[in-house]
Amino acid sequence: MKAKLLNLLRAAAHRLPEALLGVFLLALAPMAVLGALALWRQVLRLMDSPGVYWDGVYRDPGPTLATLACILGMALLAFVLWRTWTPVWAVARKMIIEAMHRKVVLILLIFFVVLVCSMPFLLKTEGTVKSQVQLVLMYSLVLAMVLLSLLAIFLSVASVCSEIEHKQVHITDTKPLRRWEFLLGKWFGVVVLCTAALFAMSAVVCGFVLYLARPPDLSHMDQREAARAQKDYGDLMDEVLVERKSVQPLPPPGIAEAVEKEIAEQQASGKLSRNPHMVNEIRTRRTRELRDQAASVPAGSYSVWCFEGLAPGRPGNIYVRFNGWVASSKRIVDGQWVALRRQLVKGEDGKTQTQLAMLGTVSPPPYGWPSGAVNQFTIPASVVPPDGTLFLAFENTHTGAAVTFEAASIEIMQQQGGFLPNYYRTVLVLATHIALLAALGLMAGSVFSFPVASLTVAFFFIIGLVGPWFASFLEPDPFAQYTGLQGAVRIAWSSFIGGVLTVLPHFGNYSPLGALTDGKAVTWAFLAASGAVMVFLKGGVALLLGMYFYTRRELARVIV
Amino acid sequence: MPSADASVLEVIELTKVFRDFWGRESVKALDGLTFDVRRGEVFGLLGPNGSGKTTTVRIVLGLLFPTRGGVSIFGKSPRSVEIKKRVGYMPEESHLYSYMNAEETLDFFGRLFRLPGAERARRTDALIDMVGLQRARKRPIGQYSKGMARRIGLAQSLINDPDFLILDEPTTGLDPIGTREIKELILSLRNMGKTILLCSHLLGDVQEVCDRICILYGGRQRALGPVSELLAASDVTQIRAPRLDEATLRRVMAVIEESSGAESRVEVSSPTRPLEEYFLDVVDEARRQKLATAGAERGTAAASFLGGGQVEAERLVEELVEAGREPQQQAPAAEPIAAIPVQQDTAFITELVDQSSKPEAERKVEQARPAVSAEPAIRRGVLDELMADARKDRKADEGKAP
Repeated sequence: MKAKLLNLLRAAAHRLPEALLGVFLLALAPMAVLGALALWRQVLRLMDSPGVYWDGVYRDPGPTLATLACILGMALLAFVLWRTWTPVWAVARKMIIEAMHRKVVLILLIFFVVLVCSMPFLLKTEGTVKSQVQLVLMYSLVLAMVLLSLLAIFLSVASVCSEIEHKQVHITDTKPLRRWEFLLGKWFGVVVLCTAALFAMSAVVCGFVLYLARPPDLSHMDQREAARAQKDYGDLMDEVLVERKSVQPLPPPGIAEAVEKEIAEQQASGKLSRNPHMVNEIRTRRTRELRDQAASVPAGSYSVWCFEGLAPGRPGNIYVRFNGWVASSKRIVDGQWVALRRQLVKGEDGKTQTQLAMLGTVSPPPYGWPSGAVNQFTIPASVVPPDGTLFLAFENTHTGAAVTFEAASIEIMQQQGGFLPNYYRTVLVLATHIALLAALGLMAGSVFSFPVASLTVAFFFIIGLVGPWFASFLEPDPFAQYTGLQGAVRIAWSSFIGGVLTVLPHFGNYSPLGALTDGKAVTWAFLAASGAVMVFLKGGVALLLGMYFYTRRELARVIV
Repeated sequence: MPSADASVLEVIELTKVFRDFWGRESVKALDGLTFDVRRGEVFGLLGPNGSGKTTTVRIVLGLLFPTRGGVSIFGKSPRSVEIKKRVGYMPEESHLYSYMNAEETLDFFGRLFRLPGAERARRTDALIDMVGLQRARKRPIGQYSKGMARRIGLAQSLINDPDFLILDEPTTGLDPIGTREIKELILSLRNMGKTILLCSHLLGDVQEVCDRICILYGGRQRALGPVSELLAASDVTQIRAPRLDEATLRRVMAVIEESSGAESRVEVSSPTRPLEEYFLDVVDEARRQKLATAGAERGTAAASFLGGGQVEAERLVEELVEAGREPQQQAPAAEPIAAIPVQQDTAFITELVDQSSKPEAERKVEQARPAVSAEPAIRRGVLDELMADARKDRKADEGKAP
C-alpha cells in the first residue's frame, strides 16, 4: 500500500510540469475569451461610427498600438513555440523539475500563505471592512509580487549560470537544440512556473478577501451597529470590490499646442536638451502645470469640465473626486458642484444651438470640503445623459480666495463591472512583470556569472520600482545652461542617464494595484500596454540580447 | 587529404589560443592540428594530461571556437543542428542533472532529439538494460556511484542512435566489468557501421579497440596512423607455444642462435594470465551463485534500436563474423592509410606504451599482428619439426599418466 502510494506520488511529481502548464493555460484561457469580447466591442464601435472611432484612435493611439503589438507578439510567440515545442518544452519542464527540487517554490508558497492569513491580525486598519480588505488586497499582492519577482530572478539566473558552471550544458549543447531554443525554454519554464504560482497565490488572496467581505451578520447587533455595518459593507462593495470606470475631464483646448511651442523655443535657444526622455518629462510637467492653471476658479466665478464616455442608464451612483486648494485661513473649499448636460435648442434665428442644462446641484458637506485633500461625493448614475457626456461645474462661493484644482485629481468613477474580472486583469498585468524579470534574468545569466548576474537584475528590479524618484535624483536640470567641458560632461551624462532610464523597465508605471484597491478598472488597454511594453518590447529585447550573447559565447573553459 | 565523403570528422590546421583578460595570449592549447576520422572506424585521440585532447573534443562539439583552422563533421559545421542529430557525446565526467533519475534523464535527452513518446520509452528501457542500471532506474543520479553515472552518461550519448560517437575517457571510473562492456560495445557499434572518436589516456583500452590513433603533445600532433603500423616492432619475433620441456627449449634456443647469432637477446618465460580475465571469471562465478549487489549489474548487448533497429539479425551476423574475423579485417570501411603522412616519434610511443599494462598490450599486439613475417629471421621448417617433436613428447607423457 505504501509502495503504491509512493509510486503514485512519484508519478504525479513526474507529471507536475504538465500540470503546471495546464494551470498556466487555464489561467490564460479567460484572457483569450474576454479579450476577444473586448476586441469585438471595439469592432462594433468602429462599425457603428467609424469617424468618431478613428478620431479617438488618432487622439490617443496608445491603446490601439499596444493591442496590436500584443496580438502580434502573442501570435509570433505561439508560432515559435509551435515550431519548436518538443525541445523547448523539454527544457522548460526540466527547469520546472529543477525548481521543485530546489524546494524554493514550496517554501515561498508556504511562507506566502502563512503571511496572508496572518495579515488581518498584523495590519492596522481604520476599523472598517473596507479598509481591511483594501490593505489585505494591497499587501498580499505586493508580497506575492515581491516573492515571485525574487523567484523569477533567482530561477532564471541560477538555471543558466548553474548549467554552465556544472558543465551540464556541455551535454545539452551537443544535442540538436539551438541555443536560442535553450534560452526560450528556460524563459517559458520560469514564466509557466511563476505564473501558475501567481495564480495560485491570487486565488488564495481572492478567497481570503471574499471571506472577509462576506455580508455582516446583523442578528446580534443593535440598530445603530447594524446600520454602520451595512454602510461599511455597502462602501466595500461600491468602492472596492467593484470595477469602476475612471473618466477624467477633457483638457482645455490649446494646452498641447502651447507646450509644444514652448519646448521648440527652449530648444532653439539651446536651453533645453534634445534628449527625447528629457523632452517628454518636460512635456508632461508643463502640461500638468498649464492644466492646473486652467483649473483655477477665481472667487465668485465658476469653471466647467466636460466628461465624455460615461455609460447612460446604469443603476446606482457615480462618484466624483477632486482635490482643491484654497488660499485662505479657513482651509475649506467653499462652493458647490453643478451637474449639467448638453441640450439642443432652437435659437431666435431658427438655428439649432447647444446649451447646457442643469441636472442638479451638490452642496458641500456640513463642515465643507477640506482644502488640500481628496474629496468625494456621489450623484445618481441616472443623471448621465444618453450621449454619455456629463458636464460638471464648480462655483466658487468664497468671497475673496480662488480655488485651485489639481487637474488630474478631478475624475468621475462609474461602475461598469464586477470585481473578479478586474482582479483577473490585475493578476495578468502582474504576470507581465514576471515575464520581463525572467527575460532580464536570462539575459544577465547568459553573460555574467551568478553573483554578477543576480546583482545586475536586482539593480534593474530596484530601479524599475523606484524609477521616477531615481530619475529625478540623477537627472541634471534640463533648463540649466552649461558651457565648456562641464557642459559637455553634463550633456553626455544627461543623455546617458536619459537613455538608460528610457530602456530600463518601470514597474511603477504599470502597477495595477492602486487601481484595484480603489475599485477602479484595470482596463484591457492597460493590460495591453503592460504586455506590449513589459513582455514584448523590453522583455523581448532583453531575451533577444541574451540569445545573442549566449549564442556567441564559448560554453567551455580552457583545460590545458 | 582524403575525400570528404569518406571522412566523418575533418580537423584542419586547428589552432586554439586562450587569451587573458587583457587579450594577451596566455596558452596555446592547440597548434595546427590536422587529422580526420573516417566512416566506420574507431579513432583514438591520445596524449598526456594537458596535451589538448579535451580542447580538441570541445571544439569538435562546438563548445569552444577555433582561433584558426576549422572543423567539419559530415562536411558541415559542428554547430549545425542537423549534424548534432547524428552525433553522440559522452563527456569525461558525467555532467548530468543530479535530481533526475535515469529514466527522466534519458527521456529529457530523447525530447531534445524530438523523439516521439513511445520511441523515447522504448529507447530508454533498452539503454537502461544495456548499461545495467535496471535496478537503479528510479534512483536520482546524484545518488549514483561514479561508475553508474558513467553508464548513464554513455546511455544518453546513444539515445539518438548516433552515426558518430565521441567518447571522452569512457572507461574512467568504471570497474573492469564495465570497462570490458564498454570496449565490447565500442566494437559492436563499429561493426554496425558507426564511427567513434575515442579520447583516452588508458592506452591498453585504446590499443584494444582503435583502428587508428593520433597522439598529441603540447597541442601538436606527434603521431598519426593505424595502431598496427605504429606499434609494429619489425625487429622482434614472438612465439607462443604449449609448455615445452627443457630439452626442446634448448633445441629451440640453439636453432634461434644459429639463425640470428649468439649475441641475440632471447627471452623465455611463462605468460601470466591477464588480471582482467581473472577478475571477470571471479565475478561471473559470484553471479552464478546469485549474490546480490546494489550497484550496476552486467549490461546487456547493444540496445536493439542502435544501428537502425536491425540488431537482432546483425547480432547473429556479428557473432558469426567475430568468430572468424582476422584482427586486421575489423575496419572494413576504413580507407587505405597510405595517404596520411605518419610522423612517428618512436621513443615517445615506446615511453607511452611502457606506461600501460604490458602483458595485455603484448597479448593484443600479438593478436593484431599475424602478418609481420615478411622476412622470417629463423628457419621455419626446423622450428616446425621441433614443435612437432615436442607435441609428440607431451602426448606420450599424457599416455603414461595414470
